[in-house]
Formats: sequence, C-alpha cells, structure tokens
Amino acid sequence: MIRFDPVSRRHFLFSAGGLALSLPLLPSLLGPHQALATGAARRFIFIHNGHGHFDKFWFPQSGLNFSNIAGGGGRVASLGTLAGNVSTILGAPFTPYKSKMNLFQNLDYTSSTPNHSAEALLMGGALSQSGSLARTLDHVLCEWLSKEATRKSGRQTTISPLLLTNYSYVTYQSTSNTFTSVKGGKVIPGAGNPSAVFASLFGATATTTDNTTSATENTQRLLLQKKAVDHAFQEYKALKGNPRLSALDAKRLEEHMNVLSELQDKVYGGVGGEGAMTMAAAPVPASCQSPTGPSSSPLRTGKQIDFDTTLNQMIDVTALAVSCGKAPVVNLMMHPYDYFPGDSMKDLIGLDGDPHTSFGHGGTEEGNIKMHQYYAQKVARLLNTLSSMQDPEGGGTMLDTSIVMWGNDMGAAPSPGHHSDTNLPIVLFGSGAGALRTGNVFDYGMNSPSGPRGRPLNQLLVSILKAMGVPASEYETAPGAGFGFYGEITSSMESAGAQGHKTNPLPGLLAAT
Amino acid sequence: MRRSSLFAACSVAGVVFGTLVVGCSKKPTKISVSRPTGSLVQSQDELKTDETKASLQTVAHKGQANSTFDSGAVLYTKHCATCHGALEVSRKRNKSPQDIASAIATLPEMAHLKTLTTRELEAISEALTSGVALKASGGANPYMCEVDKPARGDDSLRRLTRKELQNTYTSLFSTNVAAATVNSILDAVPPDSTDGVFENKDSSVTYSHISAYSTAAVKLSEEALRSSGFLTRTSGCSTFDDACFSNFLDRFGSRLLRKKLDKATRDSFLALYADAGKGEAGFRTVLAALLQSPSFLYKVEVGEGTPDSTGLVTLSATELASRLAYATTASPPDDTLWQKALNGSLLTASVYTAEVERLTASPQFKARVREFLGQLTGTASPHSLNYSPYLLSGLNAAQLATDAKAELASFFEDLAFGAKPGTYADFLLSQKAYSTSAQVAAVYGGDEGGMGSQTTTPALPVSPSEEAAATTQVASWPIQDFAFNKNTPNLNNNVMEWTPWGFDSRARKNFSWPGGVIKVEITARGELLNNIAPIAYVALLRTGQTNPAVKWDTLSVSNPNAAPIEVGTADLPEGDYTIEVSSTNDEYIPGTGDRNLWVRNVRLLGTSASNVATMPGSPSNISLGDALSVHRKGVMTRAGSLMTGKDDTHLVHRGLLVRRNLLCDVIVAPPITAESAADFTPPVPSVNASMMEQIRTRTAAAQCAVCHVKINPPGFLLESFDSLGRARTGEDVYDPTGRLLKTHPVAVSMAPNIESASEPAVSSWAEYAEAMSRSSKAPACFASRWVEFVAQRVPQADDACLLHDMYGLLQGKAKEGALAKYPLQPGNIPALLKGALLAPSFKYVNK
Repeated sequence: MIRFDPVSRRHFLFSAGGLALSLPLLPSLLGPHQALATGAARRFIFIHNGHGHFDKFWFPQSGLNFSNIAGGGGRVASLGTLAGNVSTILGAPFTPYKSKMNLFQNLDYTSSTPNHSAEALLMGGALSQSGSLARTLDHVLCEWLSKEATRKSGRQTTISPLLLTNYSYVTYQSTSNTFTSVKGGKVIPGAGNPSAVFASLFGATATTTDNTTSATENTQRLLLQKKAVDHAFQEYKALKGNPRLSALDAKRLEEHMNVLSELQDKVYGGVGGEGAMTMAAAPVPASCQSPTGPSSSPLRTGKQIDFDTTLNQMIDVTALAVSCGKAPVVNLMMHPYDYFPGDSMKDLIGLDGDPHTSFGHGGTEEGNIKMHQYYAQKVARLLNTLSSMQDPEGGGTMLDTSIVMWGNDMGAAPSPGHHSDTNLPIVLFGSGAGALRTGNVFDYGMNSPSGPRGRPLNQLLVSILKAMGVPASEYETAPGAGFGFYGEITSSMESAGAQGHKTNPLPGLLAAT
Repeated sequence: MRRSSLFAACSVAGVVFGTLVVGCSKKPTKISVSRPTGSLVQSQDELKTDETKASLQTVAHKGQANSTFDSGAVLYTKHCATCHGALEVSRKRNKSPQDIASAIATLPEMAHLKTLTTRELEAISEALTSGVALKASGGANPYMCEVDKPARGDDSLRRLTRKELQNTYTSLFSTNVAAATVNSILDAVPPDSTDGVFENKDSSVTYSHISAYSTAAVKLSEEALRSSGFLTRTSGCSTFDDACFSNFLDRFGSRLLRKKLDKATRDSFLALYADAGKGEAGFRTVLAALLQSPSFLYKVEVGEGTPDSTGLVTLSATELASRLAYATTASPPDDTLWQKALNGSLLTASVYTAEVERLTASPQFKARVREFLGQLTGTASPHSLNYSPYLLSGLNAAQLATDAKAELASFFEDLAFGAKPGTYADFLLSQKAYSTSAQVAAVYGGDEGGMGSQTTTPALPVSPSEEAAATTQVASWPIQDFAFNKNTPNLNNNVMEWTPWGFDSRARKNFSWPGGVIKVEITARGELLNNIAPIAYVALLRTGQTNPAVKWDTLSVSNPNAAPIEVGTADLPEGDYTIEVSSTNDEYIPGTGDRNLWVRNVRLLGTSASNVATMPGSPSNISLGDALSVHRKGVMTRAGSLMTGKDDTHLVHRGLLVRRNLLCDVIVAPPITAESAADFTPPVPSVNASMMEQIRTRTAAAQCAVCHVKINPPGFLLESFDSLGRARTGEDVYDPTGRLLKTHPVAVSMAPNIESASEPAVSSWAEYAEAMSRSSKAPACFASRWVEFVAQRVPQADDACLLHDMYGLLQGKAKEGALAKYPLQPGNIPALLKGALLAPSFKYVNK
C-alpha cells in the first residue's frame, strides 16, 4: 500500500478558481452530487453474490413486531426491537447498522426465468429476456448523471459506473458470461484489478510513487501526464475530422473521446495551473487528501487467498472512489459464476467444497452459512469505512448519504437446493441523505388467486431511481412503463395488490411518501 | 444446478433462418401457407404435424404470411426501403437497433415508426448487418462474383484486441521493461467480449479501457526510460537532448505509431516535448502520449493517394505492414517487415508475397490459426469442471481437459501446417488420432467398432481368492478410494433400500455382460465406530430395471487393511448392467461423524475367456495416427469439442454451435413471453423423457421449430456422445446420489436441413458431418469465417468476390479462373488461410 498525495480535483476546484486551465472546467468538478436533486441519495453502491440463502439464516427468526404499512401495501417491523444480531448471516458486524438498514421480504422477479442471472437484480429479468436495449440500474443512473453534468457544464461529459468483478480464475475468462452490469443488451465485465482501478481514479502516479516522492514532484508528474493525455485527446479530435473515416469509425472515436474526457476530469481535472495550486479548505474527507490504495494486486493466480486479497482491495477502492467523488455509482460483483479452480473455498472458509454444489445449492447448512458470512464480512468492511467518514456536503456519514445495496440474484428459500425466483435476499444500507426510511424489515408478501406472491423487484429499483432523483422519463420507455423487464408473473402480482408498482416506489420505503 | 445449458439453449429456442425473428410458444401461431414443393423427410424426431412442418419449410424458404413472422428483410422493405433504398443497396447498412431507435426518436419523418417493437428493430438491424447471402448450389461455389466488380476493402479503424495489445507492448518494451510489469499493466485491460464466435470484433471502449491505457502509458514510459539501454535502442544516442529526441521520434515514435510521421504529427510531438520542459521529462511525456495515440491503440488505415473510381484507396506501405502483421501474428510488424514497409518494397507483389510466405510459416501464425479454429469450434475457452464422480468413473477430468485440448491443437496444426495440406473434409471427417493420452484413450476406448472397442484386461495384482477360484479376471476399476462421508443427519439409512437417498457418493460402474456366471469381489476397508463396522451392499442392476438383478447387502467391512472380499456369484443373462457398492448403515453419529467405507477396487470375474465383461471407458492404448471408430469423425467428435464441464451434454448448445459457427446460420435470442415462459424453464434429466425428447417437445411449436428444425438435428445426433466425449447408446438418468434410474435411448434419425428440407435423413453424427462436407454451405461458411477473423468484421454483400475466391481456394480442384491470380494450389485449408492475405482486397481500404 502506498500513499498518494495528488492534487484533488475538488481541492483544485475550490482553490484554483479562475486559473487558466488547458481544459474547461469539467462539470464533475462541481461534484457529481450537485447534479442530484436536493435531498436525494448521493451515490449508489451495488454488491452482488449468488446462490441464494436459506431464509432462516438470512432473515430474523423472531423478535419482530410487524404492523401494516401506512397506506397499505405490506407490513413493516422495526429492527430496533430486535435483540441481538439481525440474523445468522447478518451477524454481529451488522448489529451497529440496524438503524441504517432495510431488509426486504418477498421481493420477487416478475418471471420464472432468471437462473444464475446476476444482472437480473439490477434490471428485473435476465439479459436473455430483455432485448438489445436492456441496461442495468447502474447505467441508467450514470447516463442520467452524465446528462445532468453536461447540461450544467455546457460540454459533453461522461460519467461511467465503476464496475468491479472479482474474477477467481487465472484468466479473465468467465465460464458463464454472467455479470451484473448490462448496457445496450450486452454484459459489461467489470475490472478485475483493484490497483489498476485505483490508478484509473487517482492517476497512474498513485501507483508508481512511494512515500519518498514529494508532493511537488508528484504534482509535476501529474501535470506532465495530463499534457500527454491532452495531446492524445487532440489527436483523436484531429483524426475524427478525417473525411476518409466512415461515420461508424467517427462514432467510435467520439465514444473514445467521451471516455477520455472523463479520465481527464477524474484524474487530471484539478491539474493545469502548476505552481498556483494550493490545498483548499474544501470540505473533503481526509482520506481524499492523501488517498491510500493498493500499489499492486494479485494477478489471479488461482489461489484462494489472492481472491480474498483482491476482494478486500476492491472494497477499499470502492470506499475511496465514492467518498472522493470519483465514482457516484459502483457495481461490485464479489464473485462471478466461474467459481474457483478446483471448485474449493477451503482456504477462505475452512470447509472443503465448491461454492455452488457444496455451499450454494443443495449443500450443507454449515457451508452455506460460512460462505455467505465470508461475503458478509466484506460488505461490513465497506460499511465500516463509509460510516467512518463524514460526508463533507453534510447529512451525516458517507454511509448515511449513500444507498448500498447488497443482493443475491436467487431467492431465500427453506432450502436453497433449488433456483428460487422469489423472496430475493436484498438489504439496503444508508438512507440516501434522508431519501429512504431506514431501520426496518419490510414484508411485501401478498396473496393472489394463484398463490402467494411478492412485490416485483422492479419496484425496489424504481424506488432507488426515485431516491436518486432520477425522473421517470430517464428510465421508462413509455410513460408508466416502469423500469426493467416485466414477465409473466406481473399480472398475478397486480391482482394480488401490487397495482401501480411500475410507477410507484415500494410502499413505506421512501421518506417522502 | 448451475445456469443450465438447457436454459441457455432454450434461450435460442426461437431463432431465425436468415434474418427471421420468431417467437417461441407452445401455442403455434397459425400461418396460412402452402406446402412446399419436394418431399419432406418424415422423421420420428421432427415436427408433430404436416401443417407445422409445411409452415416451417415455407417460412424458411419463402418468407412469411403473418406479421409474427415478418423477417427483418420484410420489415425493412415495408418501413424503410422507400427512403433508404432496397435492402441490397441500402444506405443504412450496419445500423444497430439502437441506431434505428435513435433515429425514430429524433427524426420527425420517422416518428410513425415508433410502433415498431424492440424485436422488430433488431430484426431490421439484423437484415442490415447480415452477411453475404448464399445461393443454393449443391456443392458449387455459392458466392456470386460479378465480373469487374471491385474487391472490397476493409474499414479504417479497429481497436487493438487485448491479445494484440499485449503482443504490442511486449514487442516494443520487452527488452527494457520486466514482463511482470507488462502483465500487471495488461491485467487492467478488460477482456474482449465475444459475439458468440470470435472475440476480436469487440470495439467497445469503457472507462476501464481508457484508464488502463493511460496507466500503461505512464508506467511504461517511466520504467522504460529508467532502463539503461532503452534510449540507445530507440534513438541511437544516449543523452536526453533535442537531437536525440528527434531521432527517438523518427525511429521509435514512428515504429510505435506504425506509420511515417507527417510534418504536422511530428511538429505536435516536438511541441509537446518542449512544453514538457524537454530533457527526460520531455521524452517521458511524449512516450506517454504516443502510447495513448489513436494510431497506437487502433489500427488506423486511411490509405494514401486518392480513391479510385470505385471508392477504394490503396493502403500505405506501413498500413499494409501493420494489417499483415496483426492478421498473421496478432503483433505489430517485426523488423524485417517494417524495413520493407519503410523502403516501400512491400508494395511490390513479389516482396509482399514473400512476406506472406514468411509470416505464415511463423510460430505466431500457427498460434493464430489455433486461435481461429478454437474459437470457431467453441473450444478455445476453458470449462469449469464440475462432473459427478459417478459419471467420471475414474477419469481425471482436469487431465482429460488438458489432454483433449492438446489433441485439438495438434489436429488443427496438422490441418493447416501438416505435410499433407488438410482439407475442409478432413476438418469435418478426419478419424486420425492426435493424442497418446491415457485419458483421451479412455474416452475413445469405448467406441463401438473402432479403436478401443476391444475388451481390455488391465494387469492387476493376483489375489488369493482369484487363484483359488481359478477364474479369469476380465475387468477392473482402477484403484480408487470412495469415501462415504455423509453429514446429513436426517437420513435414516438403516432402512434404506432402493429408493433415492442422500449419500454423497458411491462406487458404481456400467458394464456389458455376455451371459453366464459372474463372480464379484471387492477390496474395501471399513471404519469402526462404536465397535460397529459399516455394512456394505453390492448390487447388480440391469439397465432399465428398477430392482436389482442380484444384491448382497450384509457385508460387514471391518477389515482395516483393505483385503479382498469375495462377495458372491450369480448367473446373469446377457445384457447391460450397473454394479453398485455402497454402505447401508453409515448413519451419522453426533460428535463422531460417520463410519467410513472405502472401496478400493471391484472385480468382475468370468468363468472363461469367452465370458468377458466389457466396460466402456476402460483405459486402452492410443497411438498417433490411429484411426478412430467410424462414428467418431472430425472436429466435433473430439473429446475437446464434446466436453462440457458438467454432466449435462448441452445438446442445444452443441446444435447451436454447429449451426451458428460452422454453418453461419444467424441465430437471435427469442423474446420470452408470458405464454412461452414455461418453455424456457431449464429441463432436467427425467426418467419419463430423455433430454432430447424434452427439447423436442419444447421446440415443436412453429415459432420455435422454425429454427430448431435446424438446431436440433446436430444437437440430437451428438447425443451419442456424453459430456466427457464418450460414445454412448443411452442417456443415463441418475438420482441425486448417483444411482442409475433409467437409460433413455439416444438413437435418432433426422433430416439434417443443412441446405434444404429435402435432404435425406441421417442417423448419426458421422452422416451429418458427411452431409455438411458434401454441401457448399458448410465450406462457404468456413471460408467466410476466416475472412471475418482476419478482417475483424462480418463480411458484407460487396465481399462476394473475395468470398468467391476464398471458397475456390478451399474447395477448388484446379488453379483456374479467378484463382489463377493466387500463387496457391487450391483445394485445402492452407490455401484459404494464405489466400485471404493475398487477395487484392487485402491491400485496400474502403471509402
């Protein structure tokens, strides 16, 4: 681990003021948060792992006093009345967060199709169901943030989700091609090297310097790197104007330039007035003034311990990225569906067996618990970091002003030996700067003529969009169409009482409702 | 189970002929059509009704009569042709569904098209991007090349793939930068996504790409310039001064950008050098900029000179060198090629041809061809191995996967570089063995009527009981421990009989018995707990029967030293059997665990030499060049092609791969509706119906069958091989503990529907492969795939002349006509591989 002492983009914003920059002030210099409506969640972090849960180990088994949600639509119980831990998996590390979390019972897919489809958690259905325009929630949020930033700055600005995937195999090859992020009907694999991600956010200098390098030297190096990037940008611009390029090629170059400008913004946005930059009194987390990140990451050796190291680094980089305003949206797949070489997690959880058969489906309770407790520790690691930092824009800690969603793409069932499309194990942390009520267990179980039903998962996604302040026109293909894939069970859910679910947030969840 | 292959398979349950987008439902959409001409093969495995079959064939060959079946071409003609011209000459080629949707959303004159569904937009896009249409030709060259029609050039801009980037970094910096640094840099670059066939057409650029490129530029520039010797190597001088920088720019900068630097470019880098303060900082900054330049990260080909009357522009010598180098080696030009580019000699025919010969003889080109054939056959990516122990029957899955992949590599190399040039027929039909692996031999050893079909008698230690019985040992398992660790406390195994129960594993093996007295002997060791030894049972089950033919169930296995136990003898009629050994009383003992039963060995003993048990999969010997069985023909029957990594054979995936990759059928995932959703639930093995039967039922509806009439035949015929690649006559259905419940026959006879619906039925994969080999469609697809791989794009209509030539080089008999311009003897795969590089269009870029 090394320490890096760059000139923060935001520092520079607040200090450099009218200094001449080689680039116009980029909209994200204004802070992505400021693109959002007042009182809206400032960032969204999604964390995934798979294979469902035993419901008895995921949900509280007693001590909850449910009452009807005001206005109907479900039941709610306060976690505050619960003595001890929330559940076996949501154990001691989560007890301090009882008042800052929401646990959901009976959120279902609207079709019976999703099956090891990690992306379904963020779009309501499997990619195979959803067509070529399908996109997951992370992209919807970022496309809207990009629009807002462009509108405010007057220049094209791109804000991408930070995509992380903890590949367990030696190669990048995922045997299932299942990922949590989808755009344009295609999966978008996440980055697998957290040290590289750290560098991508804070500059390559961050991973090529050591503690002996002075701040002045670092600043100078950063400035030269910026000049190189700026030169490249101009080359793309010139090439784009070459009349021999086809429209398709010109479009490719434009896409490249858009993302390159995002890099200029994120990494070099505050650089340009060498010698004039001073650390501002801007209210930014202390960790951003001298961010500490991984200087190297295991190169997927296939060793389980390296998987663990990488995951820890990913969690830490995620916390750093969101807290420093580098990435308002993060999508972290803790474990893709390629399992491990040898299909074992013994070094991680002390039990021999593979994550799928032995601990996931049809495996032992002990294995299932240990595997998910392992992942729970990683989630808790993120929560602890976020809650240790005050959001400089007010509203409490970084956790308080964020929405962290930890989800499993398969349902919680009496036994996870089958693929369940119902009762998806999802927990939210953080109130999103007060956009959400917290500290509750919501139960959305309903009865329909065809049997028990839950509410559509899509309604949670719509709730998050609303909590982030995204207008419906940004995610609906037509007024009232809702978000994501709605399958064959939708009508049954509606007949059971989920009317209006495509446009309304989950009952009782949003503070404004 | 994991995401089932059958789920994925069913996701293509409604696919397309050509560009036809269809749905998938058990409720067939009524289509008013006429019966097609020509007789249809009445196969037991095909469609349920004549009406449906007629619909399918008509849909396939005549278009459609219902909007549900509107093809992309029909939709285009209906909605788009008025403004954009006929499909064949459309000015909107290569438009994505997003492009079309965007146009509809923003252009008032297209507002009336907002009613088009996503699927319809996809269908139109598919029509606009589909490859070259083939004419049915019955073996003749199916590509139409109009006289004097100019060859098509390639597009101007292609991002370096991850592999190309790795090779390029290595080529430029390996002398001065540690390999670990390059690997670390590369690790940040996202993987290229596949379009289902090849990985080298991914043109997407995400933040991860850009940031990785930028980080790489910084790290490489800093580390290289710290390295002694880098400056001298790249500039010929040793000081960070202006003169040296000029040399550096002209030599290394030019090489890095793969072009001669024009004045404007040179001036811009000189300005950057000065702006960075010159000296080492200037070098470092410029190098970082070079490594982020579009000319470095993309293959930029804009040509030189003015376009000719057809719009084609000749590539510059450096562009041609770059194109040739990446096409043959996935790397930038080497020194030899680069010098010929700089001095311009590469533009002469003789020098260029010599360079093609040199590069196609390189190890890098061999790797390139392996990559092409590996991706084409879906064998390039590793499988996660998760076979059930009872299916493996002693095979080592990891070793088998490694050996099987090596066999394929040898096969591919022989096709392309062997002493005798491989033909397309060899690709599909070769029975030549390319492995000496015991694991591969064990897979091939069970083939009927071919190598390994003879009974094998592995040498085993002679046991006293064997000698005493004076019998002939005829077969045995390899020695293997089967530990019966069970920790599911709610099982009452003391009353376990022939019902499914919850052991983790048991010893089992299939064998064929010619009839007569059989003696069974096991070597096992039991673990005493509470002074009670595990009780073993041994049962012989005849395939397809529920109750065992014979069962010994009170064998107390208390011997700690794994001595042989003579179980008993039985007079069994001829037939296929399974022998199963397990424990009957290993109940869970809290705080203690289980009684373990280790079965080391099981022997089946006949009474005479003619009384011999045959065990499929028993190890046997295999030699290079041996002829495999008559049923195991060509690439698709190799273990490396057939292994799925799981028990499931992925039968629809197998069929899909054949149709999409090897026959170039366009496959589009179907919409899933409320009506059809049940059809997409993953099927599971059942005693009531084979997987093949289940898929047949699910895909019988017209919407599904319109494509599955093509997908199912190869998938079903390959059911004669299990998921490890072993030949089989039946699909075994097991309970969760591995007990055999049922064996479904896998024999099937189907119309292959390769080029037409009137093709005679085939009843084996070998016959299907032969039909492919006789067709023009399959080799035409192969030729087109190579062009696609080299050009990193799907061939288009104006590639027809190129494809016509390539087909001729692959299948032609004589060097005549259009083939006369190629210095190649046609009729084989090497001719195709080189031909695409020697084709006139390879030297042009399309404007």
